[in-house]
Amino acid sequence: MIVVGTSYSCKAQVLFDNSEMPVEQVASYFENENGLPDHITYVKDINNVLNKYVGTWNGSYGNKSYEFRIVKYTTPLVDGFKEDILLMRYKIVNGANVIENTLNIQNEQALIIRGNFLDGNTYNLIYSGRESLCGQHGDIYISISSLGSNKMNFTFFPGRDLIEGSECPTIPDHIMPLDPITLTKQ
Amino acid sequence: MGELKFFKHLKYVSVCSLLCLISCNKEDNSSEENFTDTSEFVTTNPIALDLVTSVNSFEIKKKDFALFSQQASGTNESDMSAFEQAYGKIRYSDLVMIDSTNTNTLFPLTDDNGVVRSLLVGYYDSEGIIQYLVKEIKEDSGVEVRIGENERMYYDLSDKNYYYYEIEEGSSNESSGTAKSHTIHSSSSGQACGFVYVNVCGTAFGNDDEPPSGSPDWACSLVYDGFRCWAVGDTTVLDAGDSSGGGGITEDDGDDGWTPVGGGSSSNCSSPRVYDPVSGSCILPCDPGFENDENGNCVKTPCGHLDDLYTDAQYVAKVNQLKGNTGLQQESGFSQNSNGSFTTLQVAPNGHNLYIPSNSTSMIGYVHTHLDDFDKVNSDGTITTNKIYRMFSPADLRTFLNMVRNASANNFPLDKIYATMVSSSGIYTMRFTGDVSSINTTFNPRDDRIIQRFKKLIDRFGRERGFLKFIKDVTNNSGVDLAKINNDGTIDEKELDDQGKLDTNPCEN
Repeated sequence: MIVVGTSYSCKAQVLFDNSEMPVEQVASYFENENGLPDHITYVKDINNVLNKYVGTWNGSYGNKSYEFRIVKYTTPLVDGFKEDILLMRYKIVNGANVIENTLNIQNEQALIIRGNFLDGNTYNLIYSGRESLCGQHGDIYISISSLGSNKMNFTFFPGRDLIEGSECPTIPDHIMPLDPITLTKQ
Repeated sequence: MGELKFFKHLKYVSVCSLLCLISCNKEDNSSEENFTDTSEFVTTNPIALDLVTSVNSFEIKKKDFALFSQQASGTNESDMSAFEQAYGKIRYSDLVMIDSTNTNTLFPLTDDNGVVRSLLVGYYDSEGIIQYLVKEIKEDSGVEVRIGENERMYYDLSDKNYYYYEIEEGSSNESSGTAKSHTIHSSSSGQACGFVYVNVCGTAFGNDDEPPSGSPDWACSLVYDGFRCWAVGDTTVLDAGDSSGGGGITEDDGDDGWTPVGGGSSSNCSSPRVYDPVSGSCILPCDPGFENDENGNCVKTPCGHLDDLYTDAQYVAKVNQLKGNTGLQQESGFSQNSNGSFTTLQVAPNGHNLYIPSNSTSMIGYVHTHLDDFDKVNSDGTITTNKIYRMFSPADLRTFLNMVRNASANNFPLDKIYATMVSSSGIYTMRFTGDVSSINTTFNPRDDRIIQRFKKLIDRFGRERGFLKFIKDVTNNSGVDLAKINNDGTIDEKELDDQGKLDTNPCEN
């Protein structure tokens, strides 16, 4: 249902849809036992708060160099729900050795780091690597650094749930930085 | 029920001549019955007294209501509740019939709205012991009651009247020739005949202003209304009846849809099994925490299994130990072997995941933590908090399903298989009650698209409903039971209703 509302602090009349929720409001419902209000079917970047993360960001950790390309994306309608999220493609190299490269992965294919929610200045993404079943997975958080808008904090929390030995006779190392790093916008 | 439709022109209750009513039906078909609590019921009839006393004091065990007698080790209130849920409440009304010779009673059992759901007959058996039979009304039109060897009572729901008929040898064309007409249910042709009486009650014919039951102004009289014959097609199954003698309510032979409530047993059911009118089969009476399976055997309810688990000292000790570990930055847990022993789950070589060894084929359960939120400090001094989804993860689910399938392949009882997650947001347990052959583990629980759908469902619907929807809609699995143990030790079962909403069902202690 489209509702017409008037903002008195602005001269322009704005239109908003009560089936939509701004992306920056979602986190406030995390402790709500019943989740989001039932009528919300689109979590939308109404106020373009995700734009500041979009671009190519580089950094390093140990001997590895990282390139992250972030775009804004509207998911397809899944389970009656869609959302404006960030997609993060990446390339990890160790000298001339390419450890991983997902820069050319299509939007709905695996191995893309998928946005999940915005909480304040920090945006959470879901990371599942090529060996995710055997431990290469976890949460990534990005936030614009207090050091400048061209700097971004990048923090990886490795996943911690169960791995079945029958499926993973060997456990690969993580390729994401295990400590927070700072990325620079290109 | 159409066998007595031809009686429907009668405006008055017809009753067996052996029953002298102290209360009769109203002739006004449109008037509602006046149901009252049985505590207001006054009678000298020993059967009715026995019944009413039982109901009021919830002494079902004492009266040995067969269907529920085995449940009497629980609270009598719960037994009564189960009985009332199955058959309705025993309440006094104008429909209660008690004979003056104190040999029979007939009580309607009603729902909360006073709608008659079942009829309950009390009588003395051949040993002088009070027995009860209950019959659920399933048809829309009414229910037939056997009140004697050759006597039937029909309660018509549409006009709330009883209709009586006798079954006598008549011009039947039964193949057996000598068989009484009450065997017409086995007859392929012919007809049955009976004497029809109209019982007229009231101060005057057609007077709606009936005085209180028992009033000297209130009288009932039987009026002979002829000898009627009806075709087999007009009847439903009647009792074959193998005992001689007429009057009074005879013992149940289990062939007429009656359920013995007072210790009587159906001839089709070998003791200790009893006839269950709901399933139409012979079932074992079950203790609290048990329910009948499709074969009528008693199996533990999901709550019963959870009770077992949550009262297992070893298990409880492990859970309590893990409660103190949720503030760590590393999950911890135990697996349980089929011999009952617990093994600490080791951290995988990557330093983060918990690792289930490949030789854990005899694992029947696991219990592990999901962490509290925890922080890392960025280079600019700001803090990033890792927000944890404190519900079973897709990988937890898949590990559980693999464990169930493995247990099934090794013929280990599936009702012993469990997975528990201990967190500061609650302790949850999964069990499996579905069809093992339909288990789907083909999904990659760590595919970013699967995790995305999992987290979106949790965000949108909350952790319990979201997880149940994930199981159903994303992994296409069923039969996974989710339960939460609350801080006060009570257990709630969580499931989706038909509309996909969360249904929380507390387990009774």
